[in-house]
This record gives sequence, structure tokens and C-alpha cells, in this order.
Amino acid sequence: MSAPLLAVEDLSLHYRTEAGVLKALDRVSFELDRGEALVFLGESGCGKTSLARALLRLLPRNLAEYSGRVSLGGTDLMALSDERFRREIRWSRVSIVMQAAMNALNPVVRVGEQVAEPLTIHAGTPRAAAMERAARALTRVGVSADFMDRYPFELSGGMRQRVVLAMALITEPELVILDEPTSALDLLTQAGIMNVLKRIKRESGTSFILITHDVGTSSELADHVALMYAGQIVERSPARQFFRTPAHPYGEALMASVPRLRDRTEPQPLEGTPPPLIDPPAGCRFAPRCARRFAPCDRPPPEARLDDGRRALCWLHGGAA
Amino acid sequence: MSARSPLARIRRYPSAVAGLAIILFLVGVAVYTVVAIPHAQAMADWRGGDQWRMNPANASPVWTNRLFGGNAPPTLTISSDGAEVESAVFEGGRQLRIPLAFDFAYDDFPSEMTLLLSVLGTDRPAFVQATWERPDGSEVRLGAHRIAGEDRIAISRNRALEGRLGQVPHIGLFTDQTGPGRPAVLPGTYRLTLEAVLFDPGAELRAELVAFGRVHGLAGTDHLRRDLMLALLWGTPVALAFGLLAAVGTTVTTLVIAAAGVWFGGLVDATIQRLTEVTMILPVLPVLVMVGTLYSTSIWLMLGVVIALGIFSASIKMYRAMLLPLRNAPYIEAARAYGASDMRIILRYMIPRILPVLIPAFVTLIPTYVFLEASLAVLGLGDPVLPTWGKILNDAQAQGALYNGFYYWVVAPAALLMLTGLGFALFGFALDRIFNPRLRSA
Amino acid sequence: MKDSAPPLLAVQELRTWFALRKWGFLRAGTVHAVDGVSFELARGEAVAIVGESGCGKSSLARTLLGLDRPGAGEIVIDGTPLGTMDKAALHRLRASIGYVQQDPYAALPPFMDVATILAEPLRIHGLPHGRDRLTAALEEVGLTPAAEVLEKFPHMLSGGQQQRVVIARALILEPSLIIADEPVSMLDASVSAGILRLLRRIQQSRSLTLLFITHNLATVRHFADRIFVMYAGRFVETGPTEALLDTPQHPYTRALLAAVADPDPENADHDRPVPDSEPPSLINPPAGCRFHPRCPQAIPGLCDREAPPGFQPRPGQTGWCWLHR
Repeated sequence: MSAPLLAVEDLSLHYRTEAGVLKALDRVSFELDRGEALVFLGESGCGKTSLARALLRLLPRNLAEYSGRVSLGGTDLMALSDERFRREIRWSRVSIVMQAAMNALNPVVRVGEQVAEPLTIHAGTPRAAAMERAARALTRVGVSADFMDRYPFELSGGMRQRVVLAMALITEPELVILDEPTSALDLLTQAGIMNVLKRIKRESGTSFILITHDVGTSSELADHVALMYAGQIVERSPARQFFRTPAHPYGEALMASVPRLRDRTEPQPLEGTPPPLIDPPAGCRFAPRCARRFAPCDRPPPEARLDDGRRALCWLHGGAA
Repeated sequence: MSARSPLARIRRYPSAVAGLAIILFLVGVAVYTVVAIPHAQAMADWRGGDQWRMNPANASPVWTNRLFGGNAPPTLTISSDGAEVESAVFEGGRQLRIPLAFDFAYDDFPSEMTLLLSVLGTDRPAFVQATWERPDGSEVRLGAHRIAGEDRIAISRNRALEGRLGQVPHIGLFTDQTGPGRPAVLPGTYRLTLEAVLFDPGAELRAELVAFGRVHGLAGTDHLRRDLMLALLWGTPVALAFGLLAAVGTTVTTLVIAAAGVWFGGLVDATIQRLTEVTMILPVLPVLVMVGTLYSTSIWLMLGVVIALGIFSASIKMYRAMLLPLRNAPYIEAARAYGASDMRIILRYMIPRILPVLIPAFVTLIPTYVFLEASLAVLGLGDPVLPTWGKILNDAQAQGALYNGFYYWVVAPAALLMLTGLGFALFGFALDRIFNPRLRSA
Repeated sequence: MKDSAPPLLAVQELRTWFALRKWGFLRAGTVHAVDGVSFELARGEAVAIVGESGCGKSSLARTLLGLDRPGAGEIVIDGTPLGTMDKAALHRLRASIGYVQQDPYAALPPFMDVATILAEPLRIHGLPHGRDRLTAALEEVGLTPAAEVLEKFPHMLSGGQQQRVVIARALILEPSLIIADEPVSMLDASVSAGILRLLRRIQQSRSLTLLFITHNLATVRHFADRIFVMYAGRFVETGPTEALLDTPQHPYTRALLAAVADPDPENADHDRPVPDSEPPSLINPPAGCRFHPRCPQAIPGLCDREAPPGFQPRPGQTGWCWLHR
């Protein structure tokens, strides 16, 4: 097996707030292979948006800590200066589609120009060539090249999201990070966007990190799932295993709470709230809400590796006592 | 907003603490003044008159001596009560010799000299002759007077004496220089000897020599000998009250009108906006000048006009901009759905939303109105009876204070105005940062 | 589930439209948000209105709540037409319909604590609003200890707790109808399951009529007795939940169902069938059947000319589609 495209070890991102240090990401580790889609699944406050920021070094002003090892195709990202990171990594090798990005399009610049911007500004490509590539990028995401001359407000929400996607793909990055790409969109539009992503993944072998709270959407693209809870990755499993038999009790509870169209089982709510990220508890962070809690859970659980490729931060699957 | 009480957060801002301290100080002065010097008495005193006659006119505050060096004289009163009077009785009367002696070692001359004489115990006039003796022994005859009852002899205004001395008496009598150049005070003991003849053996003569000083009190005096401290003190509650009432009146009314306009929309909103636009352009001060000149300058009328003009000011546009997005806010729709009336929505659902922005704006509005009232007074359109800071400035300007070097007359009220402005501004802007987290730098 | 008693709510050919104005007063077109909708709600029924954004479902809800004025059509509540009600009757009507909104935080006044929020509707209608009443309201929605929650402000509560307060407020006037517009779409999955369950439980225990608006078809199976599918201001299909989900009669319903992704790893292996082209404009809707430009089974010459009437291809299910003629 070839070396992973992205290797992250002990990545931490802490914010400084009035009430104390908020540990949004707490020593998160994972790997991503080429051509693979890794989905970060989690509910609000689990730290998944901080993950996107941390990977692209879009750091806030009230930063308390940013540490860990991040390696992209052999390059040590943390060792790069901010300037080198901006020039060499951001948008040329890794790009991002942020939450509600369709609202972030510049309303006074035409669509074609905006899609071409990463090339003209970042790579210094001459305008004519950039516009041509922009037209191709747009068709790739299912937007007719006729729309190049339109302004963003003339497009629907779904089309604008596709435009943003085209902007992220135009530099042909190795990795695209998508933060809740479909959460503000309608059902049919969502399905359309997911189809586009599937196609691009098939055809160009681009790797994806998809960050979402929508369990159904995540299953549309995922090869692997990383389940996040309270700033940690509590389970990392192949998609096949995760959606059918999650290893971590939180994964189980989450799967049981999702309403399904094609299944008559009633969704089961999960009581309680996640622990605060300021001064999180020492032991397993899910323990207070876990139906299978037992004695060892007061201490930080180890990462248990199961035979079928599933990994869970949980005492239930053995591991050193 | 965090759960921490506003009071605790104020403490974290030094400018807020400083501003609040200044405001509390001014309020304290105002309260003390209203209690210690009741309104009626203050008004009566300020109207001027006899109660000030023992004050020098245009005297600087006492502390200017210490500040600028120099040794200007205070008012000295030398009374015959403490003097060694020689008395000789004759057929049908008495002859008195009253020496009024005092030490004078100041750098500057008195501003005025007056001799107060009272004949007591008889109707018959007395005959008094006054002789002045300087420390170097030189004598000057001041003249003879016929006194009946009480009399004031303005030595300083004696033209003949002035001619003889070559200078105004209150300078000439205290120096031995006659030549050109600035005269210097001759330090030492001076004596005014009065030789009086009373035509009644039982009569008494009481004499008081008043050498009016050049310094008096903590704030100095004005041209009518009034102690400026009275006006400075009483100006405080007037300024604060005016500022507060005007600010409250305009803010509350503006708020309700802006909210009503936003809520009812359509013609109501359009009317209010057009009215505001017209009023915004009207210059407030000239309008007030017009009203003051044509009607009356009573402070209540001025306050009323100020509020009327202030209501439809630019603030309406600001509140409207803040309230407009609330119109379709989900919580307001929910209120409509459970039957809240329009008035209730405006008062209980919309206005509380902008109170945090309102409070700092209100605080910084207060000094604006204080300055407005002062400006009116300086222009001569202040309330005719109230002693206010603006009135002091108005008097000072009319009397050419700066031209004559009476800086204290202008500096004191101006400083108080600035202090008021500073206090409210510091506090108001700090409140702005407390209530509007977005304005904070971190 | 359906009562033989007269319906609680009967709506006939309801239309709500908005004028688009340029520069504040020039008419630049009309948005036909609700364009001819008729239905009845029986007492104690839970009905879901399903559709995408812009289909008019929210406008329909707001019209029923009295927030938007209907342009045409009739609304009859408990036998009394809305148009004949005087001001006092309309005011009382407000108390009989509860509203639960999509964004729980925005639905609560941020400067009022929970006790004040719950007391407001009672105060407005001149009803007693003592502590006991408020505590009981909170206990009914599972917010305990009630005494603590009453003191809190909205920003101190989690999303799920906020929505429970919204529900408590909607119930406090003892309404006979609750209209919930996307009540869980802004909440996490694990929390929304609890809220849906709460709504269902309250609806059943109080025999309330529940009109539930959502775009998420997956949630409706366990929480609705009937489903109305809405598209471009009109209903395209109505029917009992099980029947509609298992045997949809309208191509749009089928497209919606096909687009729902259950958590299934097989999803990643194939594309989903999605109708192409964009959602319709509500200012210039397509002629005839509004779905025809995107319909894989459109009949040229018919579907693009005439709007289909409602057919009953199966008992209880109505589909507005020429395929059933």
C-alpha cells in the first residue's frame, strides 16, 4: 500500500476565551490515502470546523495553541512558514469549501472571473487561459459555461455551491476539504451536489475530507469515517463497517437516533449534552451519556484496534488496563 | 452579553472608572449646593446688591498667589473698634482722635480704598478730618468731611487727591515713587488718622477703613463684586439637570417614535422619515436664538424647544436602522402569533433589544445639551435669573475679562464645562465598549 | 385516526401572494407563494407538509397563523370562516393555534428569561401566569428542574432545550392546533429525535392537531398520520404516511424519496437519480403542471398546457398528475 496522502498526528487547536482555554481539537490523529474520501462526522461543538481551520492554517486571533505533526505527501506542513504555506499549500495542493460558502461569493464580480481567480491570483496564469479552465471547471461541476458572465445573485443556492466547488477544484488540488457543503440546501439539490462529488472522485482521483453532521450525507461519499466527539476522534472505521456496526457507543447511539426513510425502526434520542471543551473531564468524555459505561471509563481510554479495520477510543474493546 | 453584572465590567475599564468618578463628583457638588445654598437665597444673592459690598470687584482667587508667586493683597478691614481712640470732651461735644494703623507688606496695591464712617447716638452731623501717614513718615492730607449717619467715602475715587498724588489714590498712597516707571509698594506700617469733632457728648464715631484686595475667595469676584463661587456651584445642578432632562426627553421620545415608524411602516414610517430629514437640516442654535429673541429666554422654554428639535434628529435614522431587521425577527413573529398587540411588541420586544446601544448614546448626549445651554447663555440668551456657567462667561465677555487680564473669570467656568464633557464622554464611550462587544479590540 | 366529527380546519383554494416592489412602490411582479391549496385537518391528526424551499409551505403556515394575509380562498376554523371573525374573535384565535419555529434561539427574545417568555402569552390573553403554571409547562416538555430553568436566559440553554421552551410556549395557551415549521432542522440528529418524540407524545396526550412542516422526508414516517407533498405553491400528492412512502403516486414524490440518503455505505457506489434543471420561479411558474420541465414522465402537449386535477389512484391517496387520468 502506498504512503498516505495526509498523515496527521496529535493535532491540537486551542482557543483563548474569557472563560479559559477552549480545547477545540485535542490531539487528533488520522490518515488519508490518495483518492480516498474521509468523512468527519460529528454534532455541533465536536470540533470539526476547527479541524478544517487547523488543516489549512486559518487560525483565529485568540489562539492559545496550535501543535502537532501534519504531513502532506511527504511535506511537513507545520514546518513551513506562513508565507510558504500560503503560496505552496493553500489552494494549490489543498483547497476548502467552507460552510455556506455560496454566500461568500463576491456579489460584484462575475461568476467566470471568480472561478478563475485562484489561477490568476495564485498561480499567475494569464487571463485567457484561466477563463478557459474556469469554463471547464464549471462544466465539471454541472454548471453550464453560459453562466460565466452572470453575477452570483442570478444563480440559485445550489448553483452557487457548485460554483464555489469549481473554485476549489480549478487548481487541481490533491485534497479538497468540504465543511458542511450541503447543509443549507434542499433535498434534490443536495443529492445533485453529492453526485458531482462522487463523479469527481471517480474521475480525477482527488482526495476529499468531508466534514458534516448529516449522517445520511456522509454515507454518500465516505470510504472511511472519523467520528468526532468533544474535540477528539472517538472512532475511525471503514465506511462499510461504521454504518452497519459502529464500534464506539457514541457511534451506536448516533446511528440509532437518525430517522430513516427505508427503515421502520423509530429513532432513539440521546439524552444529555457533550462536555464543555474548557477543562474537559479526564476520563472518557462520552462516559456520562454512555449506556455501557463501566469502571475503567474514569480514565482516558486507549485506542482499540479491531481486526476488521475499525478503531475506537473505548475501554470496551480491550486495550491496556 | 455575559452574565457578569455591568457594574463589575465597568470596573475593568479605567476610562469608565475615571469618567464615573468625575460624574459622581459633579453630582456631589450639585447636591451639596442645592442643600447648602437654597434656591431662593441663591437667586436673591445673585441678583447682586448690598450683600456684596464688602467684596472687592474683579478680584482673583486667593490661590493665584501661591500659583504664580507674588503676594497680592487680600481685602483688609481696619476698624476703629480695635484702635486706641483718644477722646477729649468739650462744651457741647467731643473731640476724637482715631488712629487706624496696619501693616502692609504686599507686592501689589489694593484695588480700591473706602472709608466707612458711622455717627452713632446723635442726629447731628460730625466733622472728620483724615490724614494718611506712610511708613517713611510722609503725610498726605486726605481731606475733611461732614458726616451724618452713615457715609462711605470713596478715597480711591477722589479726583483731587489723584491730582495731588499724581496716581490713583489706592496706588499713590502706598508708594513713595513719583517718577516714571512702575511704582512699587512701600512696605511697612501705614496709619490713617481721623480727627473727628462730634457735636454731642454722647455720640460715637465708628470708622472702618477698607483696603479692597486683589484676591478674594476660591473663585474670585466679578464686576458686581459677586463671589463667583456662587455661580460656579449653582451652575452645576443647572447644567446637569438641563443636560439630563434634555437627554432623557429626546432619547425616550425618539425611541418610541422610531419604533412606531418601523413597526407600522408605510405612510407612518415615510412621514416620520421626511419630518426627520427636514429637522435634521435645521440649525438648532440659530433657531434657539430666534426663539429667545422673539419670545423669552426662560430656561424651560429653551428646554422644550431643544427637546422638540432633538426628537426628530439623526438618531431616529440610527434607531430605525437598528430596529428594521427586527421587524421580521422570528421571536417577534412568534409574539404576533400568540396575539401580542402592536404597542406591546414595540415596547416589550423591540425597544429592549436596542437598549444596550441606547445607554452609551444617552450618556454621551448629556454633555451636548450642557454645552448647548452654555452656548445660549454666552450669546446672551440664557435664563435671566439663573446663575450658570454660561452666564459667567457671558458677563466675562461683556466686561472684557480677557482684555483686562481677569483670566480666572473665564478659565473657571470653561474648565468646569470641559470637566463635565470629559466625565460623560469617558464614561459614555467606555459604556459603549462594554455594551457593544464588537467594539472591543481583542 | 380520522375523526367523523367536523374538521378542525378546512382550507379551500387558498392563495397567498406577495407583490415585489422596485424602489419601494413600483410593482415588479407577484410571487404566488401559495397558489390554490385545499385540505382539511381532523381533530387529533398529525399531518406533515413536505416540500423544498420556495414551495410555499412556510407561507401556508404563516397564512394559517395570521402572519400573512391570504389573497384569496377560504379558511374555516372549527366551523367559523376566518373572514367573518371580528377583532375579538381573531384575538382569541391566536390562543388556539400554537407556533413552533425553525430556529429555536431566534424564536426566543434574548433579553427575557424563560419565566417571562412563558408568561407573555398568558399575560396577553389575561390568563393567570403564576409560578405553578409555568413550572407545569416546563415539566410537560421535560425541562427539569423547572425552577432552575425558569431563571435562565435563552443563550444559557442548548439548542434542544431552547426548542423545548419554544414548544412549552406554544402549548401554554392550550391550543387545539400546533403548527411546527421545520422544528428540528437546525438541531443535531441525536437531539432532534428527542424533540420529535416529545411533539408526538404531547400531540397524542392532548389530542392536539399537529401540522408539521419539513423538508426531511425521513422524519415523517414516525410522526405523521398523513403527508401533503407541496411543489411550487400547490399540492402534488396527499395520502396516509405509510401508503405515500411505500407507493408514491406523483413523479415529484418519487424524486424526493429517491434523493433521501439513509446512512448506508452502499450509497457511495452509485449516483442518485436527481431531476435536472432548477426549482421553478414563483413569479413566472411553468404553465400547466408546474413540475413538467423536470418530470421524466411528462406528456408533451398535456402536462405543459393544463394543470392536472386531483385523481385518486388508490383509496385515500390523491395525486395531481396526468398519469392517473
